Amino acid sequence: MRHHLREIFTRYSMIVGLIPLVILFELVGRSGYTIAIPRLAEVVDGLETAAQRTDLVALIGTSLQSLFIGYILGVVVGTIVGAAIGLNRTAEEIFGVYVNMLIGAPIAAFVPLIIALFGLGQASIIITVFAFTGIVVTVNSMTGVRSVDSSLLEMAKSLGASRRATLSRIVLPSALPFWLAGLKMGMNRAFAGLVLGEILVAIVGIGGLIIFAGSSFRMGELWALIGIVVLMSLMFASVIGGLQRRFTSWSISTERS
Amino acid sequence: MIEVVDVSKVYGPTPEEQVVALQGVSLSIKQGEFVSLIGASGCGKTTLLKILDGLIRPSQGRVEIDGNLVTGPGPDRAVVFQDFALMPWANVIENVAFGLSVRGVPKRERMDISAEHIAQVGLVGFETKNPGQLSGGMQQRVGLARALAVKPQILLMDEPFGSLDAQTRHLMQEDLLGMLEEENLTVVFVTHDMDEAVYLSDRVAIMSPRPGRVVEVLDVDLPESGSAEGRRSPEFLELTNYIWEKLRDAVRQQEEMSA
Amino acid sequence: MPRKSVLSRPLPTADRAAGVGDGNRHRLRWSLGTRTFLLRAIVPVAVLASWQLYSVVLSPSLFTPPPIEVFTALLRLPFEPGFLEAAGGTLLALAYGFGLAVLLGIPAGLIAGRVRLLGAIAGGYVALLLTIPMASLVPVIIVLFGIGLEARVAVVFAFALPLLVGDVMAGASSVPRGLLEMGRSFGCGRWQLGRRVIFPAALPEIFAGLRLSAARAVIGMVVAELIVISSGLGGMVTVFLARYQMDKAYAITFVFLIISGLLVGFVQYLESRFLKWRSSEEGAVHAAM
Repeated sequence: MRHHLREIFTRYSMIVGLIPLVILFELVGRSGYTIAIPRLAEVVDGLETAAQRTDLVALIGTSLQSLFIGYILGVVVGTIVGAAIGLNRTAEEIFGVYVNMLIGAPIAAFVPLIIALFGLGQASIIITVFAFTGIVVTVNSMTGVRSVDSSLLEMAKSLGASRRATLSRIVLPSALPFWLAGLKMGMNRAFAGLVLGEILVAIVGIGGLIIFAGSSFRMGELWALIGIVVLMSLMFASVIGGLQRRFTSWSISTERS
Repeated sequence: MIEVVDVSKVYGPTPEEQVVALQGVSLSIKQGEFVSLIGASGCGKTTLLKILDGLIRPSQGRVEIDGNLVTGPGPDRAVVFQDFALMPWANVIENVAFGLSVRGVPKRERMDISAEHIAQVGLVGFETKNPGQLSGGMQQRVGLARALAVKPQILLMDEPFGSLDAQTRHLMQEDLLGMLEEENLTVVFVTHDMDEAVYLSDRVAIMSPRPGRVVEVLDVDLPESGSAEGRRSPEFLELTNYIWEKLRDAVRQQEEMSA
Repeated sequence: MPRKSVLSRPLPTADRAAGVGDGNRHRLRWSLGTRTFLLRAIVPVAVLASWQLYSVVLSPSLFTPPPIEVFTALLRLPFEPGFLEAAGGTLLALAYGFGLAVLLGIPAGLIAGRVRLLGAIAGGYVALLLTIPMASLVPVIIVLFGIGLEARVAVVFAFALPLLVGDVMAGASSVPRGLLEMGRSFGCGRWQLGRRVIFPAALPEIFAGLRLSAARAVIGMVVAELIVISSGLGGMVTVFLARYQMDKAYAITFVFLIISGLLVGFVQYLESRFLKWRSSEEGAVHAAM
């Protein structure tokens, strides 16, 4: 029974971890120390106001739409490109260096250019999300394919396995944990791209509302919106985390031993 | 010199989950003696060694050295570890000087002392190499030099040659005896190898697991010269066979338990 | 030429056995080095060439200046009025923000890595901070600190800190037990153990954290520049875009990339200097094989 509880705790620890923060928030809010942190009641009010003033649900919907389109595009392209590079030794030799450089690069620097090219609208957001997601998924797919245990490959070769069989039965399952980790990081980056893009575009989606609330110092609204974004990002991260656990329990156990 | 008095060590938060690593172990070790602790895994020999060094506190009982109660590590004892425990970021002479440096010995002095002991273990010329560049046997020599450099009275060795291949192991055993001739150290040596125990020791304490305890202490009355032929003498074989008989059942039980 | 792939890797043992002392193979290996270099160099050349083609021939547009123009704009930037000041301000925010993150993050991470209770709590919050989109907190930071240097420093700090603390914690908590026992057996007290064993043992992981955190810091700097209406480089991008001076706007983007490369490169350089023992280890391993 205790173990079961502990498992649930670790799984939702991030969301559970918010609770002390929320309490702390309320205490600071009550003390009136800074206008940046209002009382929780104000946050709830802010949520209501935002919902009344704008079509909040529709806006959230637009944001999520941009997020998913960009994310899925990023995952598809990233997986294909990453796997292609990883599987081909020459390609990896040539492109590998650049792909690894791209991870650390501040892609955010390109966002104003993307906006200049594609306008102040949803298209720019989707492309931004796509860029943020794609790079991470590419790297992880590449690494996943590359780091197949060479002794497994030896074994397959000595048993005379066909190229196709080796790919599907050894490379694919071996690369799966890395790819899933890439999906998780990709979702994380996708949110980062979404929020950044929408803030800079400033008239689209939830990011636009955030900047609107912030610049008019409507803190209650601002925190309510931030809260929505944070909760959404944590939820999606948990979902992918669940996928990871389900599909890679075997790799975790081999790691432990 | 060393008095182990009724030492027990129990791990585990609740009675159901308890592991009795040691139970009621008593042992007397005279100065200058070489005593081996031998037994199957789980018999508590490493635990006992750590209690001797003061790294672990016994749940019951006590250890006294020359009448003084052991409460923690001290300058009179030094340990040689099974996995060498060398600092990979430091070179050989820095590793050897480690114990001295912790004690605040000035740089000149500790480098000189370290150089002496590096020569003693036969590693002259490797002072500036890093552990990563050394073979297993050489790394353990560094560990030995480090232990000897602090001039302990008691040398505690925890399966020091366990990670080495058989040939290197034999060489190290011979060299160890050679080095100890010059010193007047008391040695407590943990091993699972009966040949090694009989070859090196004055006395062998046979331990058995669940709960960990000393079953018997043998006197090893063989000529100290320790040559290659010595290992095959009938007396040597008699002793090792005897020890094996005592250990066999415990080893078999251990196999079955972990299956 | 047969296509090389992961699947056609030669069996390692046979390869190694045959390789030593084979003069031909040696020559092949050397030419592989230059060959790789040349092939890799083709990539940026190809990218620039296709960009040039696109922006001059295929689809000339105000918004896609050709690389040559961007490059000249880049070279002329230092002479652009206000540039040096703006760059100075931006770099200052980066230096303060990252510096603060390092000064606070490394000790905090070391302590959290060794004290289990702290580590458990800190670990949770580090994971939390790394999952949420940090950009969403920037408006709050603006309300708290205004729109000056402090705000940008705070943003850089917020971006850089969690990752650094997380990595330092991981390094500090994974010091091999054997080394800790060894330290204690030779008489190390708490503080000595930390200084002589824990810190050096954790250093590789700390440097990894520094590298990644440096990259995050620059991202934070860029985000701060773009969101916080600033007198720094971000402000310049806005101005250039408003004036439709696209080549200059693109040039500033490259400045951001250059800053990132320089900072991370600097950390890597420090890493190679302080972790020399790692490379000697790897060298020996190769030699032994």
